[in-house]
Amino acid sequence: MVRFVGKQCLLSIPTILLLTFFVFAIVYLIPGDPAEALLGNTASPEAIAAYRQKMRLDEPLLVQYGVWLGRVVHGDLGVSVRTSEPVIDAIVARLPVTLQLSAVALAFALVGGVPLGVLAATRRNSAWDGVAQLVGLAGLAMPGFFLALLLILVVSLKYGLLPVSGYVSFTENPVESFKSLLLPAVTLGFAVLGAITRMTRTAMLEVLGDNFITAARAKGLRERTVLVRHALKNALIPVVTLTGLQLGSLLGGTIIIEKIFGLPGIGRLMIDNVYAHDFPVIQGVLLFLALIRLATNLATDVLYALLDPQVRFQ
Amino acid sequence: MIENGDTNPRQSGGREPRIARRRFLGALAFGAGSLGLSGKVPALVGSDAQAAAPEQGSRPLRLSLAPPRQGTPTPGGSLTVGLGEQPSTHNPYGGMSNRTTISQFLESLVGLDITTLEPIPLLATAWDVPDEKTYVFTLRKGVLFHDGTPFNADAVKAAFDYMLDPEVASPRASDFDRVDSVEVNDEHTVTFHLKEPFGVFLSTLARQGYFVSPTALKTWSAADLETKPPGTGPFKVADWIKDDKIVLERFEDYWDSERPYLDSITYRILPDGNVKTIAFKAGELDFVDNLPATEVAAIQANPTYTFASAPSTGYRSIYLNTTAPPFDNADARQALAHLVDRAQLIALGTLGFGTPAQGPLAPPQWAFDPDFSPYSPSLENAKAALAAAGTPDGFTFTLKVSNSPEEVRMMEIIQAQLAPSGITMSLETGEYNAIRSTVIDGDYQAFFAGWLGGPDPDRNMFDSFHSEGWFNWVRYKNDEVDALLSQARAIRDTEERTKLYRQAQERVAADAPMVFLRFPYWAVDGQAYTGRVRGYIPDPMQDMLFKDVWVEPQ
Repeated sequence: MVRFVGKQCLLSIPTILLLTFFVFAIVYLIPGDPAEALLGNTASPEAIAAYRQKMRLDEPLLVQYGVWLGRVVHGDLGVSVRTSEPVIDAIVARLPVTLQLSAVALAFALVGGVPLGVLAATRRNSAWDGVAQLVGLAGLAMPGFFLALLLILVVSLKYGLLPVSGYVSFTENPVESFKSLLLPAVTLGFAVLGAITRMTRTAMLEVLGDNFITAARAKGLRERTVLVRHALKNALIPVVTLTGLQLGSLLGGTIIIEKIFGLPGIGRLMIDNVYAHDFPVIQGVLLFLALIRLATNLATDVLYALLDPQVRFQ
Repeated sequence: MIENGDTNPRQSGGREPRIARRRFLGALAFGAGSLGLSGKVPALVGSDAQAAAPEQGSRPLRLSLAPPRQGTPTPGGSLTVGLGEQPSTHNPYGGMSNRTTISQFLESLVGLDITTLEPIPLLATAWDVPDEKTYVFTLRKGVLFHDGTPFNADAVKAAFDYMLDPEVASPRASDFDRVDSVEVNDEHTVTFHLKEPFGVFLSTLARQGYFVSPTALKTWSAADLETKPPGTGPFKVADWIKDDKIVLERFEDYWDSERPYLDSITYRILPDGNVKTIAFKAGELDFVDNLPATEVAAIQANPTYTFASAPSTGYRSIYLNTTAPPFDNADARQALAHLVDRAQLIALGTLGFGTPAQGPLAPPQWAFDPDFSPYSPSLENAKAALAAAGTPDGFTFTLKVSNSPEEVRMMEIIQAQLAPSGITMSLETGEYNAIRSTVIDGDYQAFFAGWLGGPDPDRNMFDSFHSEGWFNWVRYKNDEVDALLSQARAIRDTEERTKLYRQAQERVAADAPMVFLRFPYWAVDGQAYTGRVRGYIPDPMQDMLFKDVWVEPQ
């Protein structure tokens, strides 16, 4: 197992290197001149030229990359051009929001999705199955921003149950914090919920048709034991993979959700700075998100190996 | 100051002291009457309905102006404001994008009268101009910065020395490149020596010359200066949680002992316009900026809310590249100016907000000429101009426009207006900054954008139409206009300058390097607030000043 994890880690090193280059270079693909965008509409051409020089924007791309990578290796992601705030600080300050949001969203998706999928598979063609299919379809089809507005209109404006927007930190007031995250998390998690429901249902149906299930039942095991110990454990393998992959889309989804609900998270940091062309921040956040993605993929592989011993020995 | 057409919010700041109500209402009457605004605009019911029956839906535009439900100000209380866009920085010497918060805690030597846009005392109580290159300011006494440092002549000098220091590389330095030196006469008197006469100096001071405590400039970290620079304003920055909220607190030692009335202001950053409006309706906010145009009607219909707006100093226009075909020909440019139906554009394209623009001088500016109207929609005149240009059957060109739906819709209306003459306009949409870069490089035929302007007419003309202007993206060169504009910025007499600017405007309109379309009301960028907010007055510079605002106790 240790060897397996070690090998996976080593394999990701070239990926990380390649990643840093793309993360660095992609900023130069954003149309528009960073100096012009950053200084705004009132800056004179001289001011822009001076600025470009100050930020070393005149140097060749590879030289700039080298300088940047050298600093990144030492844990220095640079300083925001607009606010002088160190990028790493900006990320750390916003990380708890995004993590909480993603965690609640994922919990919602798993707690709702897996039982619903199991229910749908065991009571095939029942009303539960219909609900599961509907949720699966709606989750895939309904854009987050639309669902967000619907939820806000109904839950917050019409019934006044939850605040429309804003963020309360967990340490400040756990209850209010949960309330402030509930709508965004449900919105964010809904697509994942749909995917997980569908996947659980399909996987369960497949497993329930297998011979060992018939054998388990023939052994006289209780149906509950058959379902949970035998069927679900096997059916969960593709669900785990899917969940790992969905983590990435969760983090991507926060860009829209955080903007709509006015949450100060990583997604907001990213998108606002893309518009503002604050390139050190864009690069820093991109790199950070890419590394998280890499880490979740790695974790998925490991978890997969734990659940399915065959993977370890391949 | 180029603005991203109709979507980009605000601009330069300045501070307006309180004004007499009568005078203010007079200005409003000016805004609605002498502009040739009929007092009727289509109801705000969505563009389709209007296109079908613009007349039926007509009703007077309530330019709000909150019947200033004045009364006796009650000190205390707090205000929660929904902001669509977070300021990029609070450092007045950095690249500013949004002055809404800055203008609450930083002040300049002079302010601007909200109706005449002329300089009035603020941190300077009086000034004297012994010769055109020398300004002597008498400073207000007993003024403190938020960090306790006294505001005096040394502080003035320190701020300007800092701003003009090449090491600091402030983007604001170019606004004051005519300042030769700042001299401290005594503790409360300071003299500015200019390199050349500059009639726009006071207005530039008002908009760009903010003061931050010299102690902070010397000892504070860059990050702290970006978030909470100590100024002399009525409020000070208590906290700024990025992307979440900005909290301002009353400055207890403010030089005006009576004001401000509010104890604190909390700005909530809510970039989604729909959510911001819902939060306002749900009672989470007392005040919202940049109300989506589609929400204005509903807000106006609700008596518990007040919708506020004012004519702005900017204009919207189509930039024509005068150095590339087909618009290197003045006749071709004029043909466009003859074809555009501005009233229709406003009725259909911007839900009735704005007034037709015929030139760069905007309604709130003192040089504005309400009778100036060289172009009215005329196919005949356009045909004649096209014949003179040697293209009697029209021509084809491409217009670049940012990919906001509102702007594209406006340009589609113009597309239709040009079509009868045989002129085909195709649209190229893209991200605003990307388009702007190509426009600056001269790689375009036509481009739609907004200019935010400023209190002084120079701001609306020199940068864009002087051959050496920084924003002369139309690459316009007319020696006569150059001479008029240079002369106008070198003198201070308002009457004299008005004449010069009007002359220059005539030349510019005749040469048509831009097709002027619309003076925006500040309406799509309008604001709304609840009944408990009192004493608020919208200003043409689109700051939201809360110095005079109080809230009714709940």
